[in-house]
Amino acid sequence: MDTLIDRYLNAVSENLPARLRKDTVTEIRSLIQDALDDRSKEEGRSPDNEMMVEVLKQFGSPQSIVAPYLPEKYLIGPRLFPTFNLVISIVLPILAVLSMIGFWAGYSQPVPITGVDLVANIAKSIGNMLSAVIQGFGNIVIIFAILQWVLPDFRIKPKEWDPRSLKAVRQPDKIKRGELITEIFFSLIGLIVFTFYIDKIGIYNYVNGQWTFTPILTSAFNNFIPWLDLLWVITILLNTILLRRGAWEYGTRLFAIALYAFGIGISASFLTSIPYIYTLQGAFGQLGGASILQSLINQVLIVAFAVAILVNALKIIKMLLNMVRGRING
Amino acid sequence: LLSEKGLEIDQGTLYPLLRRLETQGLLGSNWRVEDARPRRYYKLSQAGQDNLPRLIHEWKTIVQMMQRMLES
Repeated sequence: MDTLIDRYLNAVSENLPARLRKDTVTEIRSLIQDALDDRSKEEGRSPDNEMMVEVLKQFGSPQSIVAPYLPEKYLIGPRLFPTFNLVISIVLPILAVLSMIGFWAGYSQPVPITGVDLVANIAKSIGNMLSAVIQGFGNIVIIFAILQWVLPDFRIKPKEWDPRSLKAVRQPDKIKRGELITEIFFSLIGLIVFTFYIDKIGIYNYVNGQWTFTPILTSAFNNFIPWLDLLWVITILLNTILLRRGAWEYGTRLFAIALYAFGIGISASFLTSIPYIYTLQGAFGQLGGASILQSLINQVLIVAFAVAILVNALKIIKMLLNMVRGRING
Repeated sequence: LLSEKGLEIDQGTLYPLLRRLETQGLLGSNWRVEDARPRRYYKLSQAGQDNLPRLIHEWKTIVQMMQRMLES
């Protein structure tokens, strides 16, 4: 019959790698027997079950006695971890964007897209994106775990370090003046062109020494103009406030979130109305290529509006995170 | 022997440490059977003997430095 010591050593050996097992178990057995002998002498009686329990309690659980014998094990060790972090921060956003573009570029349902279709497809594209990101993360972890296993002492040769290469301290509240002014400039151009020169947007052809003009935007597009104007006016207003204040604040962030949500709404409306907002019939009708070109443009517009929705959604998430960080840091 | 010299060290700490020194090549070991029980004996390897003066010097330097810091 096996004794408590045999059971203890069996549990110890189960927790040891094969190459250490035999030697370590023999060593621990010898130490336990020494301890048992010492106690037996001290108490003046032969070892029994109760004494074994006391001695084994002194030695600690099999897991705790084995721990110091084992080298520290990592799935991805501290030497590889910074490289792993770098790869993750580059690859995962690229995967997310590619998955989103791939989904909408391969969108094959007939246009116009209905509101229900749109919501279902946005949810599906986000699901695909998450799945691609999780799968990518898993694959990168597996590659790094293999590297860790094959090259446990892997380290990148340290370059000569220069303090001037240090990254600037992150300032989430700092505004980017150049970006804001560029946005104001383009919003103003959009506002002026789509308000006063909408009838000038179309295709110009120089045929037989004469310029001909064919409008491409339809009256359905005109319904969007007040909303686009409102978007541009709000953008100009927000950016002007930011330039005057010099930094992001709680109120301006809320304002920006509302603006981005509005942007999502407009992009979604465009997405459901793609075939109605423009026409190529007048311009290419005679050439017979209008339908092919139109389906190509439709596909490009689907991707463009889907990406616009994603970008605005990411901006909202970034704003919310900065708001939470601002609250935490007081 | 260690406790006689005033160094009380737990077995669970001592033996894994000896193993690590052996892995680093500073100790060698062999099994001997005494009182019908196998026992492992560790002894300084050649590399251990070569490194011992340097390690003793490092240890003494640390002790002296700590002493100066505690006195000041």
